[in-house]
Amino acid sequence: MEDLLKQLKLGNQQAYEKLYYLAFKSCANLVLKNNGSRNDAEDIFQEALYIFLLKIREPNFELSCKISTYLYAITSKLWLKQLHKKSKQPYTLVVDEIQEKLPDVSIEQEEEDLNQELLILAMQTLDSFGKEECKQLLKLYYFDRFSLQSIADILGYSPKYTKKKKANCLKYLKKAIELKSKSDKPL
Amino acid sequence: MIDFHDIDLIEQYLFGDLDKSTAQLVAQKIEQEASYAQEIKLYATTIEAIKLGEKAKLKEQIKTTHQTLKEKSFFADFYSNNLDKTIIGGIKTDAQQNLKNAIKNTHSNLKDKGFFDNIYDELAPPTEPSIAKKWTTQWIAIAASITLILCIGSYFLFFSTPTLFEQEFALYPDKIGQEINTQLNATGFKPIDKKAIAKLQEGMEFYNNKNLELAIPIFEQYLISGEDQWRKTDIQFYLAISYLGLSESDKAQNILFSLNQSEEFQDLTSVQWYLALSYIQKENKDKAIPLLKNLEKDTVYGIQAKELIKKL
Repeated sequence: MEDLLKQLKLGNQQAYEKLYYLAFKSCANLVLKNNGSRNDAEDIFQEALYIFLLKIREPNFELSCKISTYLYAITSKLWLKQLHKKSKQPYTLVVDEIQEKLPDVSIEQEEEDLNQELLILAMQTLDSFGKEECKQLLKLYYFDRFSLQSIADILGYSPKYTKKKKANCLKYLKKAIELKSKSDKPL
Repeated sequence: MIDFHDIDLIEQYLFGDLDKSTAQLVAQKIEQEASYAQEIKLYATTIEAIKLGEKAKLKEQIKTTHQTLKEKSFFADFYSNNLDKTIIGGIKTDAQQNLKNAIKNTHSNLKDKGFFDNIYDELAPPTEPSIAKKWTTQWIAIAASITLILCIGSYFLFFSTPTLFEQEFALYPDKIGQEINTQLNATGFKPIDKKAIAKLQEGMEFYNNKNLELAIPIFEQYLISGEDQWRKTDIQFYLAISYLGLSESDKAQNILFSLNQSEEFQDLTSVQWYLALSYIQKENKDKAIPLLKNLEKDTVYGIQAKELIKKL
């Protein structure tokens, strides 16, 4: 399972497809059984995948059940939320009998309290930031939350070099954002 | 001495990983020095921009995966397999149970008629039977055979009777009448559509009054008048129910099958319920039961479905 999680973080297409084979059936059944259409089932499953793929990147994330169970738990919360939104009435989901206890997962996403204009500018800078190696390294560290040792293994660098390069890349990117913001308008 | 510009320190501060006292020192410096506050803000924004960019890519990759699987018929296979497996599983279980029940009933009926006693008598140590006894035994055997035939016949007769369908069938409630009124009273509605909707209102009135033979041509006309009519799948459904009410189960089934596969029509449990009734109308118990079993846990049809399975 650890390998699958790693492949998911690395964006391996086969790993993504694997999630469909593991969990789509039960998740779709849940939606279909609870007044959902096939479109709803597919949309909710994509949303559940997105949340799951963010969760596995959280520093304290621990998977204490099967991936399919975890996705089922996210799907049930998402679909219940949607049903409440639609009908404004309390609704009890009809759920399948599954072997494992459903984990208590949060589907709310935290948002950073940042200056939105500056953030957009930063994203534009990142888009045009030519240093692909830097972008990859920063992604692996800040988004995928791999350790420096793991990144060193993935990219074939030494751990010391990885640390140094990561610091330099961040400084470089920050500088680029700073310059762009100064050339556009004062912060 | 703390190096406030050290990236590791800034990172730990932003991620909330610093010890309390160091975090307080950093917070103080942010409060006192605007340039330092700006530096921290830029780092935070830079890291957030990296994350947001990747989140957008993640969503794109999920969409791509979904599309790839769609092209590989993953979803189509899933839906058809799901239905097939349920139906096949249901048929098998149901057939086994029916077989057991039929054997049990036949056995019990024959026992009541003394069939087995006669067999045992025949198997008893040979004594010279009187002619009368021989005739009695033969007559009992013939009577038992007739009983057996009658039992099996009545078993199928019970099922094939339309009474069960008539007992269970009720028109699906009118859920669009109010919306039709709203549409008719809405301003800015195209005149031609308004005319069609007015006709539809007439059709629904016939439907509600159980004048199905008058409702059907109106629904049919509405459906063939264009491709993207308002509430198309609903009208298809009411047309199917009307056909069913007039015992035109083949026509009803054609529509119900297509609605069962439709992504637009929401009330799939009702489709399954009426599909099951259409099979009962066609005396096809094997196909009706799996559909009813699917509905056993349904909040609307669950109780009726269970009762109906028992009756079948």
